[in-house]
Amino acid sequence: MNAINANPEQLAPYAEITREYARFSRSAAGLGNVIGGMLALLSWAVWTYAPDSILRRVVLVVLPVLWIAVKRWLRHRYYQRYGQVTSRGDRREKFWKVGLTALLALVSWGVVAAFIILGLRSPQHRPLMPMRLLVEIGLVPIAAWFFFDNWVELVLGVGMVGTAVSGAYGEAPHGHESGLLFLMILALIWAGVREHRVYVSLEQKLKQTGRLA
Amino acid sequence: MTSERNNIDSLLAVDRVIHEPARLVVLTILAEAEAVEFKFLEQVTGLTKGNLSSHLAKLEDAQYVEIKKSFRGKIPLTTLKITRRGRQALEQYRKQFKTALEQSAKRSS
Repeated sequence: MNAINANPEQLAPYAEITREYARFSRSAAGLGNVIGGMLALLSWAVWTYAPDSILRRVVLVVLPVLWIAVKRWLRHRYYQRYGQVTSRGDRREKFWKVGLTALLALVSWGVVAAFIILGLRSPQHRPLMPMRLLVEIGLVPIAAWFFFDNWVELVLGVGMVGTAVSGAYGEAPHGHESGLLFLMILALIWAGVREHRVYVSLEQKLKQTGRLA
Repeated sequence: MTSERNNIDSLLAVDRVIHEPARLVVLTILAEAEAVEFKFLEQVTGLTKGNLSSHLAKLEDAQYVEIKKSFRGKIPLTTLKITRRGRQALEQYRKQFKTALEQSAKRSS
């Protein structure tokens, strides 16, 4: 420890390493997003090409859950294997995550409740919208909470949950634009690779810092 | 002569709990996160468990850090957080040290 000078300016590397490492507790997912991109691609392929069967339904439901699980597992067991460091979190990040999820919950659950209540009061005595759509709308804020670490993750995650619900009801695709989807998958994979490379170089610094002291 | 005296006084006035290099590093790390596990501090500082624990005990006595002991499964887990008081003390220390360095640089130029 004597090698460390008490000059606060020379402590900057310690602060930087901690900040960078802590990012992997919340906002950065690294390989979690690379795998997420591949799972999103798989979800699209199963949704588009596989005929309706029990297996197709199960696969479509399992894929988004698998992405969340893999991301969490990698965060705890790989990216934070030198000890858990929780990020202080950017105020803007927190504002967007909590604010957007709350807003989505208010709107989507409000819509679901309105369609159910109005439907039950109508002569048909059933919701005014197909149950599948109500479930999809109701799940949007929950999916947003789990997937919203960045906009690409949010859109792909919510999309996968939507596909899972539609698939679980045995629905088949009715033609949709996949160009944008592929672009987003590529963006997610690219972001994941970039974050992972940052982590690899951070790991080197982390080992060197320990040795310096 | 007066400015030299002031410089010495400002250096003598720094918080001795933080001035120790190991504790300064520990507080610097804790200030950058919401919570930090003992294992990470051990890795980054390169200090031994015993040495690190003794520095943490001093920081805890000064109410600069909060130490929480728990278990993850059967493995004991120590999580550390900087307190508001610790954050203020670190900020104050940085200012004092910076002022002293600036005064010293002025005098030598």
